[in-house]
Amino acid sequence: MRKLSPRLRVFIGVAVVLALIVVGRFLFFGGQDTSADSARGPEHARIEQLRQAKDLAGLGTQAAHTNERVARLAVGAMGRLGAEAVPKIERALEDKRPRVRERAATAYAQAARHDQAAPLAKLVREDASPNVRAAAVAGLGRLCAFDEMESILAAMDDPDVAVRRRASKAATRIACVIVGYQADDPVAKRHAAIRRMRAHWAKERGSARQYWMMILKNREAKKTN
Amino acid sequence: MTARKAFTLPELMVVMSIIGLLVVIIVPYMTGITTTARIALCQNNLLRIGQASQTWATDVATQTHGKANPRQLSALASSGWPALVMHYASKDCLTCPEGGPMYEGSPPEQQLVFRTSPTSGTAIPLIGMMEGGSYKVLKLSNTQWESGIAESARQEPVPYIADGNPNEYWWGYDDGAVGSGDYDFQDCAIKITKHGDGTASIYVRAETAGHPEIWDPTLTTCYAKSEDINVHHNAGAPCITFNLSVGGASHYGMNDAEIDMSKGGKVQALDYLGATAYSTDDWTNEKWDRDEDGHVDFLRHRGRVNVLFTGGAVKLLWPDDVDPGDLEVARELWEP
Repeated sequence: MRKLSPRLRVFIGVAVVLALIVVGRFLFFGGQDTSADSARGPEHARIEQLRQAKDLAGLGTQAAHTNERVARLAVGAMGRLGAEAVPKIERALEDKRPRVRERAATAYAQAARHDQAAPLAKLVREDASPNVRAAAVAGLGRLCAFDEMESILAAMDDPDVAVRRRASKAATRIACVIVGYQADDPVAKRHAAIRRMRAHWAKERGSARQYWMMILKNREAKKTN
Repeated sequence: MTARKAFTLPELMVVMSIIGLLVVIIVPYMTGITTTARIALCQNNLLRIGQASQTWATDVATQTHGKANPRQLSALASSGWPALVMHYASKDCLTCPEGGPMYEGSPPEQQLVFRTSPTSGTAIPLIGMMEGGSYKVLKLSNTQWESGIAESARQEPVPYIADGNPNEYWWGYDDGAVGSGDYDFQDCAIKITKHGDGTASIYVRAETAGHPEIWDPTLTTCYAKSEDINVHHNAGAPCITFNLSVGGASHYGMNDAEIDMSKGGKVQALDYLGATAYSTDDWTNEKWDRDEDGHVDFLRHRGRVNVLFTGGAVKLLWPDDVDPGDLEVARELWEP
């Protein structure tokens, strides 16, 4: 066998060292991972995989996970799957952990239609956690749930300022009117504003309903197309 | 005969493979360095925005003999904040290196901002299809306006379609009180004709709906040079003075919750689509929703977001850590 020249031997040595560096890097560190989801932790990556596979059953199981973060991630991911996820998210609305119910309320508003808003209205009226009530009333606003306006108006008088703030936003959005309500105003001033909102709603509910039906119908048509 | 010193074929092949290996090692690092540099530049922009807004707040307090409460400085929390900040910092701090194009569809022309006084009035930016504060601002061409599309555009966004005269268009304002069918005192429409020589004409149409003291329904023409525009009432009523600023578009969104600027720890501004974040749409804001690919559409820095806090700190965070849709986060970071 022909003997290698000294120069070639040096080159091969350098190449072997570099190759070892590259192999070691990919073998032990998995290369440079630019995926934001992987960088955010294995739970996030796992839930994201399930969402991409549209694995509702898997996400449903994860939504009941004992780890609250995993459950919240799963519920959030279901919200992005749209209408078919609504029944499973509805189940999560009854989770015993307030942080999960809160995320479920947001996800529900993302996935459901305006005429499916009753479970959110129930949370607004009955849930013990102010964060859940706030998320639920926000969801009613997002859904433009004009049939649940009574629950929204009641939430404008909630003991918690964050609930009141979101209720006011929801009412303003649905009723298409600004009545000078500030969530942190004194009680008397707030009540006066709620009365103005009620009076406006009593007068305009028909036209507001008509308006939102038109908008929501257009939105549905756009989604279908 | 002298021996040739050239490389042999095996040597050349080995050298090529070494170069290849070096490229494999170095390229990802170089890409990482570029991204890191862009993130740092973006953070620096936010720092400058923070400093400029603090200076502005101090100036307003000085002008009002200390009567201004930083929490009440609503102009900073409105969609016109870039114009205010620009008085104290250069325009380039409003552009994120990973921000992409500033607008979709409409040409990224100079953004025009009206303010009711040069330093402290509420700024109303004139941007096509931009939502800010409680206003929806629509940019429409002459043809679109005259074909009656303005009314329907108040209810559903209509994209701007140029009609052959890009120097002339309408800006329609809507305060969000759609459905009632009237223009109230917060609504008006403005036609701007740019003459190409640094001057512009402006035609204001407004309907009063019971607020004649603010807008005269017969208001017709006005004229202007490039900077200060005086809008004259026909009936000889006092002028309403507008200041017309050029610029003001931004890759950043300001928290419009009117937070207390004198305290630290609340979100003041961040990488965002839209000049204001949080109460414009907040929980109903689909900008915070992940799309089909699982990405929040306004995020720029490998899925993360740069955030300026009151007090001047800037942090690079995951969106969930700053999502106002999370009630605990909203209470802690976003709300007054």
